[in-house]
Amino acid sequence: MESIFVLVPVSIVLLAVAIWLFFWATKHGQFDDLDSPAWRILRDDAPARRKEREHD
Amino acid sequence: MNNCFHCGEPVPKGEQRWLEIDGERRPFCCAGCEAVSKLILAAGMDDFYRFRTELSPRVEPADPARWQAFDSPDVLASFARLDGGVYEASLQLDDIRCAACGWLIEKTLGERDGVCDIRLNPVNGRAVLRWRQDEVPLSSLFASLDALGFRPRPLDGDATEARDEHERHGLLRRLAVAGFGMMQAMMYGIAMYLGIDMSAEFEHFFRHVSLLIATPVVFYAAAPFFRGALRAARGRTLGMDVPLSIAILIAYGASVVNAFRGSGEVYFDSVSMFVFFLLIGRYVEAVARHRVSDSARALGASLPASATRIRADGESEDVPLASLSNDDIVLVTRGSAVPADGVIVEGAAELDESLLTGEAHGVLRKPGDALAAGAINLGAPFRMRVVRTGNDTLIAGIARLLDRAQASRPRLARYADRLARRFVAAVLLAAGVTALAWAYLDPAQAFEITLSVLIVTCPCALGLAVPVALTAATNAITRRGVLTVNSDALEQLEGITDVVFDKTGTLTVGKPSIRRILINGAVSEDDCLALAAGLEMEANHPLARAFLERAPKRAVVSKVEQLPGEGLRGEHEGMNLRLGRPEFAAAGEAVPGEGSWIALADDNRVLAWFEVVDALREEAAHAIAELHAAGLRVHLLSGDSEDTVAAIARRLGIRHARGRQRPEDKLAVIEALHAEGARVLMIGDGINDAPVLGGADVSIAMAAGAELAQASADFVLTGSLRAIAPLLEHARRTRRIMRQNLAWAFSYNMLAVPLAAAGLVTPWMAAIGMSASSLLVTLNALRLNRVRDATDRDLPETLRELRSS
Repeated sequence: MESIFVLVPVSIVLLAVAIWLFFWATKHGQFDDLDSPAWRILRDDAPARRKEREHD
Repeated sequence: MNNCFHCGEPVPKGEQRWLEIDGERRPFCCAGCEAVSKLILAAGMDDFYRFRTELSPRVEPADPARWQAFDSPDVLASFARLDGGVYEASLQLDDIRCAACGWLIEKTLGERDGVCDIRLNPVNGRAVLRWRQDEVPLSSLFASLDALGFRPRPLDGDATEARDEHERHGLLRRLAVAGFGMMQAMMYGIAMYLGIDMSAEFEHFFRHVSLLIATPVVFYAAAPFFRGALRAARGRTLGMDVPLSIAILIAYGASVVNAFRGSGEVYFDSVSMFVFFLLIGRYVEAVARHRVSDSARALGASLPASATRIRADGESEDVPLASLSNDDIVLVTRGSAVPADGVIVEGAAELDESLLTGEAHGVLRKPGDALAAGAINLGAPFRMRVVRTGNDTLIAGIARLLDRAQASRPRLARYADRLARRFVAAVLLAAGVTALAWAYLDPAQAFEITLSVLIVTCPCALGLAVPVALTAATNAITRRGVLTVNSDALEQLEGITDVVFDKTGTLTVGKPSIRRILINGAVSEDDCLALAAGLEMEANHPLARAFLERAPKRAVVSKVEQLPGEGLRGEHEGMNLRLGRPEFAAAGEAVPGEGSWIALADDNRVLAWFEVVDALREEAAHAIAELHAAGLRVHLLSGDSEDTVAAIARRLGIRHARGRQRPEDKLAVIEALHAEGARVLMIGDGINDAPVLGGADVSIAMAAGAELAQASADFVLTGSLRAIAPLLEHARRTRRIMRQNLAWAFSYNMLAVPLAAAGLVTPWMAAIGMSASSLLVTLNALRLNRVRDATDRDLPETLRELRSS
């Protein structure tokens, strides 16, 4: 049971990280447009760019 | 008939433009559309045509020079921010229809050298562009956008919009803090309630950890409630926020005391949960509210971005609208909008003032006549002297009026506020009485029981009952093609007895076509059409397109002269031709029948009569039949001639129709209906309807109409007319569900308050009971999200017959 004294503070740190991440996301407009990102996946890159990636 | 592959409009006869796309030969209607398609294909973006969900706008060939004014540093500074050599500006793009448009713009502009990035929200057409002006001038980016058919307009930092976004982001963050805090606090809370092998040491630890977590929830996440309560206290009234704040503060305060004292109950979990559920309601409400103010801003978008100024030396220059000043001389080219209020100096003008008056026909203006900003020049270019600019213009004044109308709280909302105040007073009274009674009976329990009463009576369910139902209903009807501008109007829709169509334009497609041709025998029908088409070749009038589409060939007509408001004159093989209104082309002759006629004449006689009709919207007859079937009276009030109105009414089965109606007459008709006890739904399209639409109980504007009207109406119809009958049915369902919700919220409180006051409910039970009640109300409201599709089975007999015929 003594592990609780470690685990609970760890969970609070994780909580703080989660909240910080969420704040970061709202600040950068991640929730402003929920429609177009779903389309983005369907788009092909221009051929020139695709070649560059293949060399990576 | 062939339709343009790009914009979907019919390809005029004789137009020979083809491109090979996806292995097929595709037709195009004009040079602009063809150019855009070539551009799209050349950039390897043929996917655009596969992913797009709507046809693209027709493209008028673009002129790069018109955007040059935007490269001057002064002008840039007025709307763009400079940060380390990179400019950032917000743009409003017209005619963004779907996500594929956004894709096209991000691709074409994003790959230009000097463009850092462009982000576009296809939902509202707003883009944020970041670019290096020294590498790529803004004018060339604007020209590319224009060439694609998306006309850009810089947005100067709009204060309201920034404030809305700030508020939304703030609420989201508070929601996250409260949500995460609630989950954590409940975990510890459950361990404590279950009391599993809890040594004093553990309990002490858990209490302090819960305190640590609940503190930001109370002081950060719940801050808006405290601010609201303070505001109410200063205004010496009672708001919903008052009992909420009292409950949160005393629960938190007592828990802190108990946590440090090491005995007694702590309520950190209940408090966090309470705050979280309250914030959900706030967020939903804020999103709905901001959507409304977004549509009001559409108004500012009706003026052009730049104007052509004539300098003292006679040279012309393009300047942005903001740098126009009084007494400037401005050239208004054909097809462009008047940039400011002013007076005509040179040239006669034929103007489309439909934005201001709703009158679709051209209005004739002579030198010395006053002009209003926003009118479109249909005829030859003319020069005007600027009298009022920007915020002083008539159109800006109207926009402000409408804005103010929207800011005022509707009657129903005020009533709800009053009700809430009384309810809150009752809650506080009940809590006070409970506290006193238990202080007398059993002081040890008095605090906990009072807290339970405060939490359990949280007016949340009551507060959510109406807004959530309205939001869900709004979503559902948006999917059916009706945008809600004023969400209170949904309640008003119930009990509508009369539907009034304001002007025939609401029932027609707005594109004139030639229905009948009567010839005098001297010249054949085809030749008459050819002569008319030859005359109309250069005209920029919807009617001209009708002739050009219909004519099999075009005659060569020279010396064509436009007489604004009258017609056209020209020469063909020595004949002096006139085409236009009967008074002009066929003075003294009798018009062949009812309806609107156009005459073609030479020096001696009339060669042909053309009957021009505006085709009825395809779905108009069905829509009217559905309204009749729903037991509504349908009226048509129009400024058109009585004959035209009667003809349309007959074809659609409208029994009450009146022509030659001025706005005052229309208002009088509505007032007469009101006097009979009727409730009126008005459907209109132009800005001059604003007072008429305002006179009706509920108003709907057609999206094709002027933008101003969209902002002043309660609803905007973007889809088919057949959305109207389901809208009324949906309003009935919404009303029913709101009643259920209110009934539940009241009976829950009637039951819970006595139980809590009797000491049978602990604060955590109260918090769960309140949350469950809110959840039930919300879920019930979300049922409205489902869209019921009218199938043939549901339709009445008469309608089915109509359909099969």
